Amino acid sequence: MTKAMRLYEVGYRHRINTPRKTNPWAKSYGQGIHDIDLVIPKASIMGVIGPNGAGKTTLLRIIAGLYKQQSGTIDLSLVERRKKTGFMPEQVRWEGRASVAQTLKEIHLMNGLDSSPEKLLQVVGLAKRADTLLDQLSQGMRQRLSLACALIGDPEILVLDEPMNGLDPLAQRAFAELLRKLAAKGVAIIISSHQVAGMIDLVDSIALLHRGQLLIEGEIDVVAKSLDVGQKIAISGSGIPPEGMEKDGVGWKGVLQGKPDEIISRFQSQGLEFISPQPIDLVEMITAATGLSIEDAGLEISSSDMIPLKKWGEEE
Amino acid sequence: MKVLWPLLILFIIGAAWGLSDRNASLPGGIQVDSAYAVLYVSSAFILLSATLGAVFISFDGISRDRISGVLEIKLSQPISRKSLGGSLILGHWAAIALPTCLLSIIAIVIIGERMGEYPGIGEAALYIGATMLVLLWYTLIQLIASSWADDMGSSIALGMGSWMLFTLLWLLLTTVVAGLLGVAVDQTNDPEWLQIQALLDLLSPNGLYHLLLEIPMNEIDRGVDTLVVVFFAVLWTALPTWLLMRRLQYLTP
Repeated sequence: MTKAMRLYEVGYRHRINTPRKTNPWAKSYGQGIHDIDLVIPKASIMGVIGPNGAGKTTLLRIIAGLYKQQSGTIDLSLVERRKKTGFMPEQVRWEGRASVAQTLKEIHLMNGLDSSPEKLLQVVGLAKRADTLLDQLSQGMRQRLSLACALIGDPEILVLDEPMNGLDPLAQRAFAELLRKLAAKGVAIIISSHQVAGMIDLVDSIALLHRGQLLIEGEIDVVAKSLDVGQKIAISGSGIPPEGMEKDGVGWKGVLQGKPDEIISRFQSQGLEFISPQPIDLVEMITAATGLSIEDAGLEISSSDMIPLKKWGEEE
Repeated sequence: MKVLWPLLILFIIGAAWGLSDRNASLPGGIQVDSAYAVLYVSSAFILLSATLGAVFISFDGISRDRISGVLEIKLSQPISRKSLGGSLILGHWAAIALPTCLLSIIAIVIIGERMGEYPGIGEAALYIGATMLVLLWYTLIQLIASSWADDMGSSIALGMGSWMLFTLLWLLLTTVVAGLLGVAVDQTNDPEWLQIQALLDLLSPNGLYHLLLEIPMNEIDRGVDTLVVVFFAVLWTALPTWLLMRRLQYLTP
């Protein structure tokens, strides 16, 4: 495993206002992160998870070169981190009279690049919105523009803070596809999201933060095993309870931990039948109807395109 | 700028047109008997319009990006903070300086045509140069204040507050200081009062602007050496620039 970045005992605490009678501008150290040891591998997607206030955003900002660590070392300097990292903040409310293309061009220039942003706009599905003013963008489009900014200059490390916020399910799936492709090309991706369930299928490894400390880090299966947690399946039925199940009124029930296939085959061998209803997949329906691939559909169809706009003054 | 253009035209062109009327009589016995004197008096209208424009343009120059989250994206780019600061200053300053410069040139032409007398090239250059400087100082003050502000309310309060302090309240402050020093504040022609006023003007961008414009006017002597005025003009340019660059160096979203 080649590393893209290595953090060693990194610490950072925010300065917060603590006004006193004698000094209304007094500041003191507040929450932050402590002694973070982390290796960010290349060609991999790492999920940073943890409850609110765990220090996820602080860690991501340090990795992106926005904050300089107060203690510990990182094998890349602040300037190197800014050069090698593409950063997508949690929520950016792009606003103003500038167009999408102009804004992207400005960020291009900040990177010392004079190339055209057209290709990037295509990648994030904003090619048709190049001349749209920032004020007219929907939340999903703003997220895509932020992603385009993060992708400028082909970064070696992509740092994404809650990137799925505001994206419709189609765009989320296409976004995940895009991330997988980037990881396959060798980009190290660090992603933080409160939608933990959705991340399980996306990330290769996780880093679990709590109260500013890195509790555990590694591949999901390894972490799950070491924490003695895994996928659980709740089963219930009627008649004689199979082995390991407990009686529940006239029937039986139980919770099993393990791989679903193994559990199913174990119960099938005992003569039980399984019906696994699957919810209708909206994404599949749309891709089947339009004939577009998930990626194309996800990035070219936004929810607002599917809703006829009401004209000014028109009755509801 | 849609709002500022009419304001600038009204104040800069309007002042030049009105004050260059030979038959105009100004309150307080103010004499405008030369083209440069008209420019000097009309500088008061620059302070009421163009500096306000600098405030409007720059008061949220950094805080707006901070509130919207765009600052995070900008600060994470590999551009040096000095270059970022330079572009911030240049962009915000040019947005008000270029229209003001254009309108000032038109004002000089209007004064010259109506009075039949143009200000000297040196005088015109000093007028435009000092005007550009005062706009730069206001831009710098606003950007520094904006880098401190965490929300739109504090941006507006800091921006408008500093403009009101220098434009409306400075005379009150001068009067208080003079009173504390035992100088008669009701004798506006008292040399002591004039000197205290001039010394305190060195600490205000508006006052310093007027001191700069008074350099070629032999009839006005407020007891402050030209070199001191130039020194303070350099200080007013260098110190806020350094402060802003320092702020940007350590700025976090």
